Amino acid sequence: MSKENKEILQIKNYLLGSNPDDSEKIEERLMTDDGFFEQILAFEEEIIQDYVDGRLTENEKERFETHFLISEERRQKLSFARAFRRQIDRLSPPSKPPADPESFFPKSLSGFIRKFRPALAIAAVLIVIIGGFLYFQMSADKPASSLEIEFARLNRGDLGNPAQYADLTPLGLAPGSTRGADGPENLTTRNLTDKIFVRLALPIEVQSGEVFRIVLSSNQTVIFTQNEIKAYQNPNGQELRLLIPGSVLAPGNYQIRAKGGKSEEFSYYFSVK
Amino acid sequence: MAKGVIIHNNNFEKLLQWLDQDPNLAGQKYELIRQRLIKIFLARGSRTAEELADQTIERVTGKMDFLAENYEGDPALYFYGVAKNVFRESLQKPDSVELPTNLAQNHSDSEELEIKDRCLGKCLKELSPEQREFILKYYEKDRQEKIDQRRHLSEELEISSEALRVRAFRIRLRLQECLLKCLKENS
Repeated sequence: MSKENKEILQIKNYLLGSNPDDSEKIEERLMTDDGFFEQILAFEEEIIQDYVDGRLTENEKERFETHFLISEERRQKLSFARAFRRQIDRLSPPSKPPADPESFFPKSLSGFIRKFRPALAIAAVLIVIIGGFLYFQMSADKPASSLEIEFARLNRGDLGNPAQYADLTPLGLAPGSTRGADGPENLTTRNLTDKIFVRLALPIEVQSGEVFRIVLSSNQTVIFTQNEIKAYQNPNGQELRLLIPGSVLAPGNYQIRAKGGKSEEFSYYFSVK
Repeated sequence: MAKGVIIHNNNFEKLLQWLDQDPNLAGQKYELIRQRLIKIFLARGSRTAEELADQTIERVTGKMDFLAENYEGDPALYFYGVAKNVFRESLQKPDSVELPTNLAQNHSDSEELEIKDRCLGKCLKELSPEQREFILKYYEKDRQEKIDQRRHLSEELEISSEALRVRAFRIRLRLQECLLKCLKENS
């Protein structure tokens, strides 16, 4: 580990209250070194943001919730960090903006594109249809996207305390049914947070430790998959809990299929307006 | 001066003089020492960090005549020494402050969230384009590229990673202040 990374870890541990050996050195420096004090303040902000972004380890998360948040000021900062993340996600440019054909192709091709635009449009539609079909055929075995890997990590964590996700858009679904247009299964893009906290009621009792594969699709196109989704107990029975990225939900109708190792497949439906 | 602390005015004047001959600088140093003490007590898990910081200052102030004559070195370190004793003693007393059961719980309702989001959106718009671009890049979410992104920012701005972190922190502070102001206006 580099010297810089070691120091970062020491400060992080100190602020989370799990670094008694080095604490006196850090405290002496904190008292006398203006620059170091500002670094400590900056680290505080980073730890809070890392918590909100799900970047702390289980142990760090526990220390954060039981030790770090004892100050009202820090709890206010946590509230800020949650709002801040929503804003940053809204304002961050998409990673791959759609290309304008006339700027993408060299100038010499622009005239060609203009001349054959109708034929090219038909060809483009055919490519999309064939591509969509092939994508659908292959989607069951496609490699996980970086988003899926990231959310797989988040979903492997403990989602046992729903109150912890109170600021996320909630989505609670029962299998096989949809409600009216104003029902809770209808989300609006305006209110989507960066992560959606999904709770899927299970109509059967599943064995402890059984995990499910979740497939989110729209118009028979797979959008997002997650494996090893755990079942949790609630007052009425059991439910699956998972986080899905809000960014994958455009207006439309959606289906979530959940399949456990030893149970049948359940389908849940919702729409986004 | 912090509430709940009874310090003899004369001794407090001496304390400020001990910190710095310039009254303005002395006031700033006093505030900084108090903030630092609070951070230390918090890191040690005290639920009454502000109270302990004030007790520390009170004790140091009580010894001003002696300190002004005899103490050599950085006054901040003397405060730190006293703070360690104050903290040790605080462990003997029962902690009377009750904390919410789930500290991380968000109690905002949807209307509050909406106001908060609207205010913060407005605050972000009030940043200069450079600051806005910087803060967006710094906190972009893709974790796989995050480290590279920050390294790239460091190189682009020709500053160290520490300076980069502090720059982001200062912009965050500005946003937090702006948000508080906006929420107050909307309450």
